Amino acid sequence: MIRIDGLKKEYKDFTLDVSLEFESGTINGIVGTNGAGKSTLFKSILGLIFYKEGSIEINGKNVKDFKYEDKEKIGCVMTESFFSETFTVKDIASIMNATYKTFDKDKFFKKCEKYKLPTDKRIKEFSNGMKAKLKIITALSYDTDLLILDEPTVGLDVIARDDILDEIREYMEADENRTVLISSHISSDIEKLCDTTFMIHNGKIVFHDDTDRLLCEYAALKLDEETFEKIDKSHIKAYRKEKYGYECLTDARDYYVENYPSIVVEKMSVDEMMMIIIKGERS
Amino acid sequence: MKGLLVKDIKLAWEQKALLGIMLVCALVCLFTMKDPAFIIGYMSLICSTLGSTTCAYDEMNNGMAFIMTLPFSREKYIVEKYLFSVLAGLAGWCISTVAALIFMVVLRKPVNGEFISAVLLFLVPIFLVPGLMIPIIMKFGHARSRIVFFVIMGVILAIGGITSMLGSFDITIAAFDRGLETFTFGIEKRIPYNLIVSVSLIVSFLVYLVSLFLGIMIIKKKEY
Repeated sequence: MIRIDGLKKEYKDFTLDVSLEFESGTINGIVGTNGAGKSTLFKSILGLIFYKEGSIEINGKNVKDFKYEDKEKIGCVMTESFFSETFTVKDIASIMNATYKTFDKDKFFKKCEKYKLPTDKRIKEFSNGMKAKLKIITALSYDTDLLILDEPTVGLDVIARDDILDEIREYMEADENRTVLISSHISSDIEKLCDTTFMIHNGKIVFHDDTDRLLCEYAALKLDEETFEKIDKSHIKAYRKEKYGYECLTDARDYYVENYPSIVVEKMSVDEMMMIIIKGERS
Repeated sequence: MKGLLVKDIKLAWEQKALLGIMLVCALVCLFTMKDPAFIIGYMSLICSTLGSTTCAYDEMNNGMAFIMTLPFSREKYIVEKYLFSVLAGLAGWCISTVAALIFMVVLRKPVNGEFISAVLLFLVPIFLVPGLMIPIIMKFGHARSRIVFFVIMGVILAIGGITSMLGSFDITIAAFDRGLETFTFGIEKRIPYNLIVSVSLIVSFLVYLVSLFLGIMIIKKKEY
């Protein structure tokens, strides 16, 4: 389990201020706009930045006290950061083999073969999709308990994205105690993959829930002004003004379907929920 | 640390073509200038910069953030850079010394105390170069560190200029007129050359140790 308690990281014009928990055996999606704090959150967990307030614990141990054995159990993919692009796949295998006791060279090369990654070509000659696959293959080629993926599918086509999501599913199937944290701009990836979705905005978690519940029980209510004034707002999480009246985000779709049969109730994607929460007013 | 060493060896190997050209140039100079000391100084200096060059490669494409997620501490990253720099410098020093010795044997030149002192003196840059370069690169990044180096060189030249004005006018002018070799010979009259070599080695090693300490302090405060 990952427990983040009162984490506060301050910059000149931005403050990350979060408390949250990620259960073992779950895939957790972090969604948010650019600059919302997703990468800052991941960097804090990975010890790349310092914070004055709060604590981060992974399986009961503070990340500030992490030693080799603890760090070896974390796999990481970062959008714009990897080994020097002058390296080849073979070079990376040698470095990883010398770095991680549990690095599985055969598995690494088999995956490279599966995704047709040339082993003698420099990474700088790879396409974006190939680079992204290599990063994830590298992170999955040693024994880890936690996988932190910062925008692993950004800039990729549907096929490449699907390949990467398959790799993550396979990783979770191999050991039910593993945990994945993944951030993405692409909400469909989060919807397809994650058990829990966290939405971050301006450095704060604005809501989180089981992804299944988000997709089944959350909905958009389209109301004219009169209905909006009268309706029971206890299950409305956010709303925004539209030309026709109000669009509301609710976490109790069935309640409104049963009690207000005349109103329009529509299913929403995570992106649409994010739009209402960020651009609208929160109840 | 093994993984970091493998990474840096591979990064240094990326420059094999350049290193090869430099080796050929050094060998050409050895036979044309007939100065075996030159090749040792040249190769030691070039090889001792390899460690700081790998810092630039690590930095490329925001690579440091990923490297810092690998299972080792920030201190180990710095210790490895200093260790790698010295190992690379020593490799250059050993190879060039062997080449110089072969040259001297072939040309039947005597391997005397002066040669041995010169050989030992070229251990100085092996410690001094990483000692000066690594903390500056770590602090300012590779791109900005170049400007910082120029500033430092300017400061050193300015201090040198002021110091020369403080000393005896006649001696300074005469020394410059006679050139560096005579100037060195001039010092030798007053201070034994072996003492200069010993003190230089000790000072460079101390600079190296202090710099290592500084490097660790810098990286511990850095955010990626």
